[in-house]
Amino acid sequence: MNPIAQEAMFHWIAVVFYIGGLMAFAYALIFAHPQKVAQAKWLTAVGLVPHSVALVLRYMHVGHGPYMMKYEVLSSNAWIAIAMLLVFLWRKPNWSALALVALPVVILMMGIGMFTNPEARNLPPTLRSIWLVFHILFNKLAVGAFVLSLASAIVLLRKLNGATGRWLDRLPGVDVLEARTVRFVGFGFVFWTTTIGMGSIWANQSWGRYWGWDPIESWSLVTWLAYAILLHARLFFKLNARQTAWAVIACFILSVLTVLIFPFFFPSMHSAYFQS
Amino acid sequence: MNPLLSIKRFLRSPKIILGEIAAIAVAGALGAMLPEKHIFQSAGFAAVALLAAASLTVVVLEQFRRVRLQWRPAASPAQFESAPFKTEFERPATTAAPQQKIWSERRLGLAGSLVFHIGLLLLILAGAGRALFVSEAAVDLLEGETLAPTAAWTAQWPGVFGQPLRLEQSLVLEAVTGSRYPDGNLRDLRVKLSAGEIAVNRQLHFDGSRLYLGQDFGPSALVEWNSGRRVAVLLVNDGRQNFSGESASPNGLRIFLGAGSERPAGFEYRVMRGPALIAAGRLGVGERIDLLGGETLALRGAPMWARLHGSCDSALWLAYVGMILTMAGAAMMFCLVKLDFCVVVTPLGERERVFVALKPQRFAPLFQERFEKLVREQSSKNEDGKWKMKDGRRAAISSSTLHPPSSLPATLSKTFSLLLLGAGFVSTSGCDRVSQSQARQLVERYNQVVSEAYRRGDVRLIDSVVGPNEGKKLTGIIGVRLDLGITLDSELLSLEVTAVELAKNKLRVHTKERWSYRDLQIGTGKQVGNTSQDYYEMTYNFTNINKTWLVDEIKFAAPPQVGRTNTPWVADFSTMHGFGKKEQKP
Repeated sequence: MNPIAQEAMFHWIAVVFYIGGLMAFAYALIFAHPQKVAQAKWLTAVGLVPHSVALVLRYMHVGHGPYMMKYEVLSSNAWIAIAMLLVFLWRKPNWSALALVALPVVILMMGIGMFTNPEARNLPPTLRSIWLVFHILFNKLAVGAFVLSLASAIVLLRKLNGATGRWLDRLPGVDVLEARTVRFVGFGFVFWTTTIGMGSIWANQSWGRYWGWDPIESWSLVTWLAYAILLHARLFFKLNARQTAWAVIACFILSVLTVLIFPFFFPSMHSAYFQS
Repeated sequence: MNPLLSIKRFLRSPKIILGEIAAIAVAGALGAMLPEKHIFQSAGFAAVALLAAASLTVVVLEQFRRVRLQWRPAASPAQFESAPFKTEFERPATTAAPQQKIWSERRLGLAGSLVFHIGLLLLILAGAGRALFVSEAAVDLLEGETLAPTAAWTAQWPGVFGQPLRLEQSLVLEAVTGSRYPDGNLRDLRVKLSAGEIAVNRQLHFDGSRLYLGQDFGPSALVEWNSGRRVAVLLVNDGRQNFSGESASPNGLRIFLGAGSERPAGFEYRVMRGPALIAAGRLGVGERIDLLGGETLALRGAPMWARLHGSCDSALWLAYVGMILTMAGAAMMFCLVKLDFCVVVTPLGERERVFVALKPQRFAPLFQERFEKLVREQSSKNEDGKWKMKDGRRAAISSSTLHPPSSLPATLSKTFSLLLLGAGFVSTSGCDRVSQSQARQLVERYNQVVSEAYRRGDVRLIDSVVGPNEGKKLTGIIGVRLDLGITLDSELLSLEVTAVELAKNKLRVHTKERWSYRDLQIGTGKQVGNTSQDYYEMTYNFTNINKTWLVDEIKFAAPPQVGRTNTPWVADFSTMHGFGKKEQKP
């Protein structure tokens, strides 16, 4: 079996486990079988194993980290998001309802990635830098934190809209949910800041300047500023929970556009990492 | 009122601060969407940046004062009146005298916002310093070439008040080495200089400047014309492992050189006078060719060249410090939340009353568990090990942390998932649109490249615009013309795009075109036969291959109207591709 077929096989096994995990979470939370939540978590965690194997095989195949092309980027982003979700649920078991929102987003991410071109692409010399590794790593952590903030914001909106159900009732109150949403945003903001900082150091090495208003650099700054506006507006104008949740969702959409969509529309030095 | 106070109030006003952030965000978005970057060099953008720097300065000074005041733990329990978590309970006496303990944890978090904003201020200052005083330059050097201190760099980009970049000592480029992946793509590029080695992503500090390397490099041809003029023709990679370059002679001849590797033993050459191909062939190092009119051309060497960049930014350190502080400040802000604790014990005979309070600096609702733990610890001093609270089982959370619901439409939340799914699919559906003007550009570019290929008799040029099918056809036609000893000089007189059809990765463009053609004899440049003015209705079939529209097939949509009626070609079959010389039978 060729390496791409092996990777695809392990990726699909992971997707099957994630779908199984999602169904188990749905069964446990919606049909009120809280004792099944632990099994749902295990099922999802087991999915990380073939997913990790797929990423390791990819590394052995292409000789670099998963940061070239949609196939690698989306798969590794999904891995980080699942890992962060599981770590959070391990620390805060009552928040299992987040999985009902985060897992579909992650499965969608992997699905899109799996239908893109998986052919290996070599790293050009400018991308062969340790700073790129940090840049990408923190970007993935930021995406993971923003996925959790999105899930939290959606659950918060459901609660505010008066939705009830055992799975929602297991979650803490609106005030805690809102604070947690903003904290996720805060962690994402820290990681995004670090992404930009590491990218600047790398750009200074590769292109002789730490900031050059490259379109994707600019969109990354715009996303960072959008989150800054959200955090400041909440502080200054005491945004209520609903406004905060919608602002979080809007910022998440902008971050997805910046990382996954804009590289296709605006000619950029960054486009190389995400072609095909 | 003190005018300074008004300015300060203005600068720290939430609306102004949010307005500044939003203005920079809008400028960034516009700058990212527009091809020109003038917006970032405009006076308006500079004014917003200046205003933001002023606001940041005021905010930093205020935050510094606040941090200094709040750094010390609260002095008395009275300061915990407003604490979101507080409770009182009784337990058996453990002490005879009243006791109070007030302490803080994760105090560093208090300084997070201050450190973050100082970092941002330094970054803006560093950016301003760079825009004003930076010296940047680039120069193309050949192996063995010396960049003397007095030598001018090929290009200079000094800041507004910046000086052109100059090195105090000479610099010699000794060798250029590029390594490639098995598929031919560039893996690494290194340049050995007299001052040390640099590579892509590995810079060199030299003479107060920073030298670094991009990915521009390739072979060069040291060409000498008999007029005595010597030029170094730099060949650049066209992305498909072909290197090409051109130069002009003092008498108006143009020479096009091509090579298939970085260290070629010789070059493919084509010499043109105007649109006419005068000579073509292969030229090795040390060889000479004689051209019409007594001109000669000699190749004296083929060293490699590389583009060296230099930069002197005295504010770079400030930018790095700013970055570090911004990252550290953001991490401190969200990962470390200062917590103030208070425990007051008041003896009541055999029992004692315990007041416990927790005041988090931020995210108060998230510290419920921490407070419960504190209460448990205090109440565990009770003899039965169970804690009791006066105001119920759980501690009270201040109602100020609860916000009233807003009036945003609730149904929107249900549509969010669909929107997200939509965004995901948009990214992959490839819903490209090709406008009439884009289609026209594609056709024009194709015609431009193919016309030049006919003119030079060089099929390698067409690779960037044609797919495999059309490529094969053109290769044959251009080759046959070369065999006939002629090239085609064409001029597009008019072009009208009549229709554009797009389906998946196929694009069909219908055009009406008027052309002027003439055949030129290779070697002399003399016109062969008459000039022909033709009218065509064409259909171009483009295929999108690796995000590039390539012509896969061209058809006449109507019979062509050709100006000339006969072709005065004389074929020498002995030199034609695939045709053997016909044997004369007795």
